[in-house]
Amino acid sequence: MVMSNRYQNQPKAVATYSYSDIASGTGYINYYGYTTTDSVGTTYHLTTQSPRSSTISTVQNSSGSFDVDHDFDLPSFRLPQIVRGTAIITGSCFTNGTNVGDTFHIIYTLKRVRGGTETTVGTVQTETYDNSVTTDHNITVDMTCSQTHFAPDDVLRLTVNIVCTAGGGAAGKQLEFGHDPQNRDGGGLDPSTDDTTTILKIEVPYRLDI
Amino acid sequence: MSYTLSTSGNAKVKAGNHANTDLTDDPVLMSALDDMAEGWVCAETRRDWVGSYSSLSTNIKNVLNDIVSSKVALAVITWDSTDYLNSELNSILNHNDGVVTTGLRFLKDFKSNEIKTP
Repeated sequence: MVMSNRYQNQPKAVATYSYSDIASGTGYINYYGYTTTDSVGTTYHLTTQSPRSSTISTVQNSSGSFDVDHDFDLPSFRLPQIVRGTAIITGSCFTNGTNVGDTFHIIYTLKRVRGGTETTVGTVQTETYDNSVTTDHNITVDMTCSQTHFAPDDVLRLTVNIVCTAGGGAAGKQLEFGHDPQNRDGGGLDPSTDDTTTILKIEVPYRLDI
Repeated sequence: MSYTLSTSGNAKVKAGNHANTDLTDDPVLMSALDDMAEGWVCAETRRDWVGSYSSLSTNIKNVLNDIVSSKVALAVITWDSTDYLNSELNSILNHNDGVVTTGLRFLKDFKSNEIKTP
């Protein structure tokens, strides 16, 4: 049976792709984490742009262990997309603890949110860091993303789950992670003087529709 | 008359993985689309395949199933194609269009209503 060729969508724009993208069938889009603050509170977002984040970083202070989530959401899609491949996440944390044995790690999870229901696209956990010293921790991890279809109105979400374990006592612990696309100095993360960043970036692989 | 020549499940498969489930999960609308498709197949081939369905061979039944499910799939996709990627949409539309066009041409020229034993 001969396949019909009656239906041929004409492109609505002239798109140009790099050879490497065509060869791999994948195109990366970089998203940056930032926050907005209004009368209701602070909300976490993802964007391809570089706005000044309402809050440069988020600081967690605790006298013991803590486990907190922050959901960075991209505005809902207007066209269908397929995520597939390896995402790359970079960011930094600053710790200011005192007790030997205190540790932390971060679990990054990429999700599809459809009608309030979350579906995990990929997840990765950082190495375990020493939280008992005052220092910066630069983080780069990659995340394998299972092939996931995003329909119009679906939302891409990056959940940053910070898990801090108090192993050495109950004294004060502080952990700061940055999310400012402008890379300004935070309270402990100071890119202007230290080898660190307040930029939270995720490079998301999309299947090329060509 | 509904679903004599095909099933809603076959039409869903033919419409691909990203068909709008608001429509494909609606039994009333899917049944109506199936009725229309079966009506058109009978009208275009000038044979009452629905009425004489039980006497047909399995091979002819499969061909009718293929054609009707593709016609329903085309209607499903036309109703809402926003979840499809462009290349995916073209591929599915052209596949179903090819099945319908080729199948109807075959049935129109089919003289004995049965396939001969080789």
